[in-house]
Amino acid sequence: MFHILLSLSNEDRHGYGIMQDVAEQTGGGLKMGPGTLYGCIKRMLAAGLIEESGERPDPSLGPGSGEERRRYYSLTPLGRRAVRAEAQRMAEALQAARSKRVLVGGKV
Amino acid sequence: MKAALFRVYAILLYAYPREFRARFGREMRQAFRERWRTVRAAGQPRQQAEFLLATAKDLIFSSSNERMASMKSTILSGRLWTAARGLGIAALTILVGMLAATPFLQAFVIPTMSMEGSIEQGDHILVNKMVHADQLKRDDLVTFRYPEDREQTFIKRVIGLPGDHIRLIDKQVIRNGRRLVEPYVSHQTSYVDAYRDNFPAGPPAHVPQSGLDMLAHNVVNGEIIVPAGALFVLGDNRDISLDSRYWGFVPRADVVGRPLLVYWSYDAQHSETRWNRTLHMLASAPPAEVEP
Repeated sequence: MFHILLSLSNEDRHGYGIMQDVAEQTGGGLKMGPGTLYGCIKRMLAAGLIEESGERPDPSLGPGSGEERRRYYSLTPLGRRAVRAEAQRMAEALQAARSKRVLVGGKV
Repeated sequence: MKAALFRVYAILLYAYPREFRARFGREMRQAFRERWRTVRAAGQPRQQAEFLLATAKDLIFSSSNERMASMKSTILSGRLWTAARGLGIAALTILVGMLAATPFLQAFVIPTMSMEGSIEQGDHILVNKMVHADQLKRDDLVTFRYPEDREQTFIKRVIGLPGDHIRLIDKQVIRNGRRLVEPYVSHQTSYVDAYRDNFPAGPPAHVPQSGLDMLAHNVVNGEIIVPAGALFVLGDNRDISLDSRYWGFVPRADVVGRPLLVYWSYDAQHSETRWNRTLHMLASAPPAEVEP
């Protein structure tokens, strides 16, 4: 869920765009299937973290699929606060982990 | 192959609750297509297999999650039956999807009425691909590649095996001198068409080359004699079926398998599932043979 919020933090995206961005963020480690993604999207819409921001084609997908209309999603102000708070919490957790020297390699 | 894959995915989306499918189905199909294109472009069969496996897992886990979520709300509102049926559809969809992914079975949808009475328009069937052409018996249902366009798969009934003598007299099939009383046949028209209903005696009309070849080489004394390595097939909705009477024999090599069961039947005209046909086994019903 955090990764989805993060992928929407700099631009509006459609479902496949979110999948691609999340895979990129995690170095290909987190590949969500459509069911998992839209399950999350449903709950995040209900929680008011994200909202629909219209339908339009995405020419970057190339001929054939570029003309198809896609539904885009964007962060709500609440979603933006949530992603910031979560990043903050993670930064603090990382700080704590560093001070306890639990990360291997020492330099992190 | 690609279109078939997208179709299967679209069918598998029935594992999700109706509201979820209505809201997100189109987007999920788009996302699935884009990811498949990316994986295909990479060109590694291993990656494609991993992707399909991951998608299957995603389907099973997330559809059961969504079903549970929608069940909670329906159970609380007292609609236990709706909830149970919903879970049943999900289980069935996943089961069929997994079975159809094996080399033993394949799923097809019936788009025409040429078998009306035995197989309805909108029936979704599983075909047993382990049945080979030489295991087929007379009166079995059979799926095969349409000789005029091998991309299409047809379903008909085996009327003649190699060596059988076949003719029709006033819509009645005479096989090896015995008249068949076929309980599964329906007739939509009462008039007698000289060619269709008195085959192969009548003058051929609208018969493609393959049918003309059959008439030229396989007719003896007014009867078709089925050659080695071929099947003679007819549709059960006999008056509107385009079958061996028109385009000739089915080569054994083109047999795909024997239809096994209807796993789901959808009546598009009334937009509803035909529950009485769902999970209906397709057995062969041998006709009575009587002396003419």
